[in-house]
Amino acid sequence: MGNIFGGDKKREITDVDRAILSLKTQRRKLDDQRKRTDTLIEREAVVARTLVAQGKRDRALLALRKKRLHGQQLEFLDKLVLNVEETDVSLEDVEQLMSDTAEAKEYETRVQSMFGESWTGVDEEAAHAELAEMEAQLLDEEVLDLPSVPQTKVADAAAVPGPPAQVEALAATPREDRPEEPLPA
Amino acid sequence: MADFPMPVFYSYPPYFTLQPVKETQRKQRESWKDLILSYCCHHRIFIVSLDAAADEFPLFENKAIQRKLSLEARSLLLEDLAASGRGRWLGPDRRRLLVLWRGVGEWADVIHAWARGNGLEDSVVSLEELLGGEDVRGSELAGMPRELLSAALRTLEERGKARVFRGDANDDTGVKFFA
Repeated sequence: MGNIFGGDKKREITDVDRAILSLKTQRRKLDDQRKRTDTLIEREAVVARTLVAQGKRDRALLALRKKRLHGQQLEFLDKLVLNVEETDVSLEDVEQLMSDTAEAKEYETRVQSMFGESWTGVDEEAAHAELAEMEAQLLDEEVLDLPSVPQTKVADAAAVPGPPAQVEALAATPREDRPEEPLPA
Repeated sequence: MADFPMPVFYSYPPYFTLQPVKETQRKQRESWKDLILSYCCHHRIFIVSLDAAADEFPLFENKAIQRKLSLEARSLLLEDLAASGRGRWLGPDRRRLLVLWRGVGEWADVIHAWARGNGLEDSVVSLEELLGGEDVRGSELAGMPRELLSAALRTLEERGKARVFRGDANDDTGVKFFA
């Protein structure tokens, strides 16, 4: 039986094994978080569109700020996951693995505090620009004499990727407004 | 369901009512036990619940002859599976049964063969990866519930073919496979 080989050194769990497990766990958690964040972004976009259609500007802006914050989070998560996946797992890389894992853990804490604070991490101008765009879009739809926007239609419209201007605005988010990036260059 | 060949008895109404004569009931329950096992195996169903809606597990109702098994009968059939070692209750309330259309030892073989086939001997895999990772998709391991996976891994450990270990408090459980 297996116990005969109990003393076999090869069957031990090493520090490398534990480091790999840690890394795999972090990757899974980041992936899960990315999926959740994606859903949140979609949801805020739908909410914002509905509020714009109802003329509730302030609350629409709030939803757009949230959407933007999640967008920044998503971007950051993408980088982290990529980083973790690119790491070549070998004995020599263990130290690198350890530090990557520590970074990912640190990130969890940072996201927590980001949400705890006010909207300091969000580009106000970009959020306002997006609101204006949504309003303009809504006006266009009215000019085309479409029936008044029903809830379901709004949801459908939101599923379509945002206009290019919006993407540019996101990319142009000033660096100091983002969470500090701990990734190695 | 169409591609699964139903046994002849499945179209006989008396089979959906517990038979009063002891010997007849014994045969009846035996037939059902075999059917549940082959049906679950065919559809890769791992858990049968007494609370499941008919559309989740349609076997216990035959709409063609308008018959279905009572809760008492269903419960008895699952108890039979457990008693014969072909099922394990999940939880003390005896509502959900892990159906072992492969024994735990066989599952241990399947997992080890999978690890070998994927070049994972002497490698670390997390339990979460075994439960739904990319390597598992479309393999014999797909859909295995955590309870079954854990039991099979314990068997592999006893055979010296794997070790289950914990990392940091927040980490997933890890498995290291051996040749």
